[in-house]
Amino acid sequence: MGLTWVRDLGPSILAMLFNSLPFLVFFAAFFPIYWALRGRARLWFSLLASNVFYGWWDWRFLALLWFSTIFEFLVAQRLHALPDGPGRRHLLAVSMTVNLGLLGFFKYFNFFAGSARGALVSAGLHVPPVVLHVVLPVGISFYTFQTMSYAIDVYRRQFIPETDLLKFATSVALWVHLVAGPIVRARHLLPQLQTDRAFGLEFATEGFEQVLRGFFKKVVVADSLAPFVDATFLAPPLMDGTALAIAVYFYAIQIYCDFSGYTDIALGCAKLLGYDLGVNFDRPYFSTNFTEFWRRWHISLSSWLRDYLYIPLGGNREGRLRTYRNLAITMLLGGLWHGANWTFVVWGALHGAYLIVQSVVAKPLAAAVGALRLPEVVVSAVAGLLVFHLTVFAWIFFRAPTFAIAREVIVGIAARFTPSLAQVPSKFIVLKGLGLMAVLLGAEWASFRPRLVARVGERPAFRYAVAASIVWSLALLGTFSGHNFIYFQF
Amino acid sequence: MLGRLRAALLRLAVLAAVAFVGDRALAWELGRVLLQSQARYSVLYRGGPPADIVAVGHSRGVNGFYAPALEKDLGLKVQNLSYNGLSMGLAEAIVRDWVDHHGKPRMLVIEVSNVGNLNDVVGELLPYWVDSERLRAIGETERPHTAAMARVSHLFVFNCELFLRTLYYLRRSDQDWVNRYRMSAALLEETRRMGPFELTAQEDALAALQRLVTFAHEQGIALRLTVTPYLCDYLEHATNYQAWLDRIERAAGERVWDAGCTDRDVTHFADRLHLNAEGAEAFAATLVRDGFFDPARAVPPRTPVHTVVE
Repeated sequence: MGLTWVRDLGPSILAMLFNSLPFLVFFAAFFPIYWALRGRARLWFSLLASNVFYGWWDWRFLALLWFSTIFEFLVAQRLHALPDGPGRRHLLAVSMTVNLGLLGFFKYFNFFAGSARGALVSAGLHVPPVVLHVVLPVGISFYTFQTMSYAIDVYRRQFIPETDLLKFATSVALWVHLVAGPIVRARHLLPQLQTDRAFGLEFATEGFEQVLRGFFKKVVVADSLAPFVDATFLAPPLMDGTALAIAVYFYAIQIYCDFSGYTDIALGCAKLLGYDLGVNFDRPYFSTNFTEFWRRWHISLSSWLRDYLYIPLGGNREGRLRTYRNLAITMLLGGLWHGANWTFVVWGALHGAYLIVQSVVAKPLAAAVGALRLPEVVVSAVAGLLVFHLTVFAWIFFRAPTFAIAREVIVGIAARFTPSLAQVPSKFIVLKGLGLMAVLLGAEWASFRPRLVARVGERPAFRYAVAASIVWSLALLGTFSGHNFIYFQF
Repeated sequence: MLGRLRAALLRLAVLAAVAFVGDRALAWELGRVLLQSQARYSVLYRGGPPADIVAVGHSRGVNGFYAPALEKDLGLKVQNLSYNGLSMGLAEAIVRDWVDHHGKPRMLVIEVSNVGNLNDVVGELLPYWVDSERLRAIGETERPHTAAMARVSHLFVFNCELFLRTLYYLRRSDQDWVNRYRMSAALLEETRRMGPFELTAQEDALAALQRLVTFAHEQGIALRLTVTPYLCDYLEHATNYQAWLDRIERAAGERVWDAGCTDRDVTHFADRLHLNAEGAEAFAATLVRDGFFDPARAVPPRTPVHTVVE
């Protein structure tokens, strides 16, 4: 039975992915039991189910999750109890060292060891390769950042630590956000665990609609674009420049739909369970500057980096040069957070550079544009297009597995681009992708019109029609090969 | 809270009902549109007059038999039933279906290089399962869960590239479908540097070929088995080309008209496996000139292929 499913629908169909059958079974079993239980029984059940959800990937990962949870729980208690002084600072340092040490060991050891060896070899020294055969635990980047922010908040006395291990462990491990975020802060989720969540009809309906939107973004848009992008980035020298350009734009939409689709499913499921975990994406490709982009893209990560890295470094309070330095450090580390590869660092560096250049030219540019007296809509459109295209350019480094591939993509577009689809393979896939992009961006553009949104929201018939249309589009246009979510690798 | 849960279930039930009714209604309409299309399999299953020549194969058959050029040169009605990835087992089903719906052609041309293909593409032919017991039988065996999903959602039946093609060819024939671009210099260079490889043949596919040949003989349909041109720089890296042809001929009990390395003009190729429009037109002219479509003409000796890699 299992084998025929795999042959028919692809191997990922057996993984615990939001777009997989095991998850549908899991959720169908979890939901009624969750609401049938009360108080601590519900918490115990949530924790147990979250461990099953996480252990489905690899049960050995559970040990690390539990270590991280218990360690941070105890550290926070102690941080709260200790008076201000060196003891607290040292304890926080220990906590950060342990957290970053785990992340560094599992995620970055081979990267840094390989990079160091590369540098030594290029300097003429013969150093044997050192490779650790460790599996990257799913979601480690997400829950490590979550527990780190908890310890820092307690250290700053912005949050009183949770004394109930059950509640704390549930907040860390709750399956909706565990493996690929959003990075939920304890101060946001723990208060919601203090009382039984009540089932709200409108809130749950909203959650269900968000889940559907998430499935549309992932199964219909992202997974439809993925094969063309994958094939193109596999061998860019063999591709026409137009195909490469299309693949780069497709990837920009693919990664957005993949990750924001995942987030929509996660946040929607949370709402179905009565939790509000905030917003993680807010139509980022309609941003007109890079500061706005980072307020709209992966909000839980960018706000984490702002609160726990950029501001502690000094933020924009210590002069221009220090602000630029802080921006650069924050974005470089933000890039590295995504993966152990220099291409991610370059992606982060590009965004850091964008933010710095924007900061430098913002005022004179605004004055120059003001002198032209252009209509606001034109200025916004031009700025939006510029931000979008620079973002798309940076995605090349994010997607390319090596600098050589990134270079081949850029050179291929520059040297072989023709404004024609004649040399582009898989034209029907391309046309389908372009159509889906138009639908997605059109829907997001329409969502900026509050009167329209309100009108749709007020009328049940409209909401049923939209929900049913998404169901039909899943059946008609969805890709059911169980593609993994891109952010699971981070 | 129970009341709110009940209300939520009611909303879900209403949505499920709307989704179900819409699924059936939209699928019915799409099914109607499907059979109105001028795409090859819609023409097949709509039924109609016979063709003089029917060609079948995978993507090399799609690009190798350029029906408009053949019709112009021969003055005969040519129907190309090839499709990307089409296996010999599916080709057999499609040819038999053609005879059922249109009657016997005078000649059946089989591009035999699809003997390496499995029946994977049967999922892509899902929109036509309802019209073909043969496709459905293969599909139920090869893709049981695709079949199950198609029973749950009738719209899912149309979730394939082939259906997009049928929409594109709603008002015009798809018989001029051919790659219209030239192979890149980079691909040519890579092909010249590539290592040795072996052409494959599946036992199931060879058995299907044998059945198809027998079927053609039983029906009194003239038969041509052929290998359309590969890029010679590619084929020269195949270490078993002659043995592969021998195996096909033994299984079929028929000679293969070998055109594998007959076109050395690289501008005639879209990639190393497929002719482009210029190549397909040139190949059509060559076939007509050489008497390929004359059943009385004997199959010529094979074209020598100099294997460059051992």
